[in-house]
Amino acid sequence: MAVLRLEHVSKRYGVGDQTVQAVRDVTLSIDAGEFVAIVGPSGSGKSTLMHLMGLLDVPSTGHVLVDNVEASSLRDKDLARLRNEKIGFVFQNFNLLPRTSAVENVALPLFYAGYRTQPALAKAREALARVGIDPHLRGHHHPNQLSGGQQQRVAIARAIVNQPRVVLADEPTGNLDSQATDDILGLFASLNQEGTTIVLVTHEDYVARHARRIVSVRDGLIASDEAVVHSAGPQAGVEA
Amino acid sequence: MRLNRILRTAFLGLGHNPLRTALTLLGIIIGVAAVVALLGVGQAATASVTSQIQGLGTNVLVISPGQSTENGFSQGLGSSASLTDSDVKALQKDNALAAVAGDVTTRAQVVYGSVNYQTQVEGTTPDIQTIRNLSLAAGRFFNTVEANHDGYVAVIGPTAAENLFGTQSPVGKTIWIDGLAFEVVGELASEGSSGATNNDDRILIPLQTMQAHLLGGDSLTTIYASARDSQSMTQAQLQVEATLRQAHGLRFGESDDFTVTNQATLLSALSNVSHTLQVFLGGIAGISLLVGGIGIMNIMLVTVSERTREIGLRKSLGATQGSILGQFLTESAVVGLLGGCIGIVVGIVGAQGIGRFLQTSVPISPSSVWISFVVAVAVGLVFGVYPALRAARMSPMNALRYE
Ligand SMILES: Nc1ncnc2c1ncn2[C@@H]1O[C@H](COP(=O)(O)OP(=O)(O)OP(=O)(O)O)[C@@H](O)[C@H]1O
Ligand SMILES: [Mg+2]
Repeated sequence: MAVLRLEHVSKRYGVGDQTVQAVRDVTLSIDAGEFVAIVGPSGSGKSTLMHLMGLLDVPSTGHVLVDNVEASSLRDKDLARLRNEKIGFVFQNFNLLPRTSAVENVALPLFYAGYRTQPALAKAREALARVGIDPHLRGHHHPNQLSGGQQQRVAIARAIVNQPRVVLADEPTGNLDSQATDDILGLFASLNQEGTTIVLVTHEDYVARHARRIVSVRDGLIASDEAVVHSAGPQAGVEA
Repeated sequence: MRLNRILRTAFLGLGHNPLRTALTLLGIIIGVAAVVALLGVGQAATASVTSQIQGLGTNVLVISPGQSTENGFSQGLGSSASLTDSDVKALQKDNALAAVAGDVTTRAQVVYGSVNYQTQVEGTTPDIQTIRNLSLAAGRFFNTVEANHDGYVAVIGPTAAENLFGTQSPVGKTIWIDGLAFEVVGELASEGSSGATNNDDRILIPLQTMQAHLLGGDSLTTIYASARDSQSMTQAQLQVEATLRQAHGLRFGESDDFTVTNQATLLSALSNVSHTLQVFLGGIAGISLLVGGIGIMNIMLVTVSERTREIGLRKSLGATQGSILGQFLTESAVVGLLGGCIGIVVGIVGAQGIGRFLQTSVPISPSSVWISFVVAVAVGLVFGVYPALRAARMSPMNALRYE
């Protein structure tokens, strides 16, 4: 069953009197439980595609369906609700609120969902524990008191705290060293094992090989869409 | 998002840059304090003049030399000595009037022992006591016999008494006015000082003595008359005008060379002036509140553009336009609210300070406090709306990419 569907989606940007065609007539479907990597060179339209999937931007033409709900007809309130309940975002630069504790950062989507403070914080602590951050040891730390890898774990906890249908991650390891990159990728793999759908945007083959399906984008078009055959664990992934 | 969260977020945002928040607050504080203090001072000024006018007594007509405007304020005060003793005599025949007293006022040196004091010396008749409703703290008023037969007697106001005699009782003492000896026979009760003029700082002596031995001539500064009752005021005033016109030989079409005023006309003239004063002061205060509001708007616009990425992030996590709007509106409303509260306190303290300086009490009306408080919060909301709307309407993707 499709969690995300793009149907003949295009996105044009106007810069001055020029227009940039960032996404051209893309049709793509992502099913529940998948772990998809979107790869491609810089400027190929990966981030734009992800923003469209996450309802952060509206397509110039075409349709975006989240959990079989067509987004273009929705009002702001319903869009916000879909983003809140169905989608979790992870960004390259973590995007945690400064001067705000890790627990409160993670609880943010719950507050927007209308949770009371205590239940929200309790759930946030659980999510932190799930991503390997001890909520009692580090929960009250502010982002600037955490390492890059830890910050990204907090961001992932925030993305999954509301049990979304899909987690969209744009270059989540772009700012991390190789050790932290492996940790984060391992975390994504284990979340996927538990059933979370993951879409991961990257330009690194090494990162993409952790996914089970690779969609490669070039000039706003889907160049290839292939499953990854894992012969011996994620590291040994080979394109079929 | 729940209310406690919205408030927490707003305070977090304000704590982001404390100095900037404090400066924004200052704008509102000054505006609100100005409203509270200036309106208070305006009311105090009005109250002070009102009490002086009411001190005239309700049935009193005040006749002064010179022409008047419609408002009852004299334009050119008597260049010619248009009021004399004969006017008093003519008016005393009017049966619409209960009592009439002529009055001459001058400033003179008064000496008691080694004390030398300059004060207001008023020549008048015993009738003034009933007309102006004067009461005595000690002794008695000079009587008709003394008044009509060169009596060297004086009644002294409490301020003048204190300055001349200190703590001693003035009654029975002899004072020298312009080289003439007067016996003090009574001390007036305090009428209380109001603003710049002090009715307690004066010495009353018989009119006749004053004219014959101190000043010469028979011209008067003022004639006080009292109507039989407050209903007959208008009639009494018309009567006075007719009598004086006749006494002065004014023909039809010639304008009066005197002015008759009473408490009612003075009060209505005053209420015009005090209304203008209140509007003027309120206007100044309002402008400073407006400037404070523009300060809020300015800061909120800066804040919104500084925190564009935060807005994008919050939207990606499920914030609606409404909750972003609420977040920034709450921030500016909190500035208005906090500024309003501090401003009211500063305004009250400031008004008391001004009151101490002017030696009057400055009343703080609850309505001016309420109004300025509500206006401060409203200013915060109104001037916060535009920045908040800009934040709320941002596309999440553009906001996230903003640098
Ligand atoms: N807001 C915008 N206005 C104008 N052009 C834009 C805008 N956003 C993206 N583009 C253009 O759209 C194209 C695709 O951009 P996008 O960010 O999706 O690329 P990307 O594949 O994510 O690249 P990278 O790997 O460098 O992040 C680029 O040519 C970019 O210049
Ligand atoms: Mg990108």
